[in-house]
Amino acid sequence: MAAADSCDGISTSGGGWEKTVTLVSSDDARFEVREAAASLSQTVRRMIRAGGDGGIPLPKVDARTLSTVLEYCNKHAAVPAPAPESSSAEAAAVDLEWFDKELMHVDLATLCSLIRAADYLEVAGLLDLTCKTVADMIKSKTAEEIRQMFGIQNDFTPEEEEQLSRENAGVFE
Amino acid sequence: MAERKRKRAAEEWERRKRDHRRRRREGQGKGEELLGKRQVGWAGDPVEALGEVVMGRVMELLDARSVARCTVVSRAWRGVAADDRLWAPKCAELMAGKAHIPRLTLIRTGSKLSTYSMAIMDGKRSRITKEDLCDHAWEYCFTIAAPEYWRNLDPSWKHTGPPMRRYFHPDGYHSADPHDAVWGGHECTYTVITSFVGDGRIREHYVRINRWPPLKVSRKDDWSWELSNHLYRYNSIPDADRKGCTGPLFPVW
Repeated sequence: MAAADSCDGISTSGGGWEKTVTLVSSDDARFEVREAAASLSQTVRRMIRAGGDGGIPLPKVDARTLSTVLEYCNKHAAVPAPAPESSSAEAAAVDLEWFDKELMHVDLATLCSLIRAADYLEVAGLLDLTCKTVADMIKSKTAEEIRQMFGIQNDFTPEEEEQLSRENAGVFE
Repeated sequence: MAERKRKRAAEEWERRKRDHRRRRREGQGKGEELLGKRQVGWAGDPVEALGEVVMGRVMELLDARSVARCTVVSRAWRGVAADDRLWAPKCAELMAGKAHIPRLTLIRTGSKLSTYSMAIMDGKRSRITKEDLCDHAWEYCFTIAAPEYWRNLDPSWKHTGPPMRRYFHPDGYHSADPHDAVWGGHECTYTVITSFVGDGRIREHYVRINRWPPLKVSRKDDWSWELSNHLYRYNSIPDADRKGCTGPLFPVW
């Protein structure tokens, strides 16, 4: 907890001081993050509780992916909780939605590493967001379109495929 | 000292953010170029790249038809998309609010996916069987076209009580509750008529009570049945919570 316990910290917009933690990616890049943001990851939260020196190692996440994950965490942790009906709450929600949408403008490889990172780091919101993005890609596509999109080999024989479609005809219509 | 360190950290953060944005813009351009062709970089099949657990999560977000399509993509995809854990909630959702639950869905050997599929097919079936007739009670009322004498005896027209009920029995008899004003007390039987044309299509299908006008069979969105002619109407009474479900134990098309 060295980083978190020291008087080290970055200033927030309100001018107060916040505790920060240091996260270390698989390729040894160090990220200093507000603890509130880092705690959106259940994995990191557990590690903060467990304590430790010299930053929290995250050997399964590379710097590029981690920076995106932290961008997400920072944005989502920064949102205050004003009265739900106020116009500023609405604006914040719209802003957040817009931010999420922008964040998902990535190629498939990035999306894939983001999902794995969100799964490993247990950032529930980000995992939902990324899974939803993949789901939207699959949605309303035929099996052949899905195969083409991901370059998947069809390992069913034509007879098998026909039988499978017939068996569950009710759901296909 | 601490001040300078903080400033550096903030600058570093900004720099990383700028970097990332730039990288993302570049990546985006590249991504668009690749769309349509095979996606380089995506480690091939998402089921392999993300693992079955995460892929299961993705499919949880899909509608039933989209998941069904996933089951025929490849064997690996079928492993994820045909999983009972995925289909059990979809089955529950499908059955919720339905008037009758098909007895077919009780077959234990079937997966939840096949249960779902059979339930959908059975819900679309408009050919009624003896089981469907006998498995629940029916509400009976006259239509506006019925002679006034009969309508006056019908409590649902006169608002004098609950609608009359009719029952179909497996031995071919048809009956009413005691003290039913319309029921004449005479012997009453029913038949289900289905006639086919050469290629196996149904030409005519109706239920007939005694020699009275045939009752056309129709089905509603909640899987309940309606039998009607110009004079009177039978509606099946919802019984979804009934143990053992209703209808035939074999597929009827």
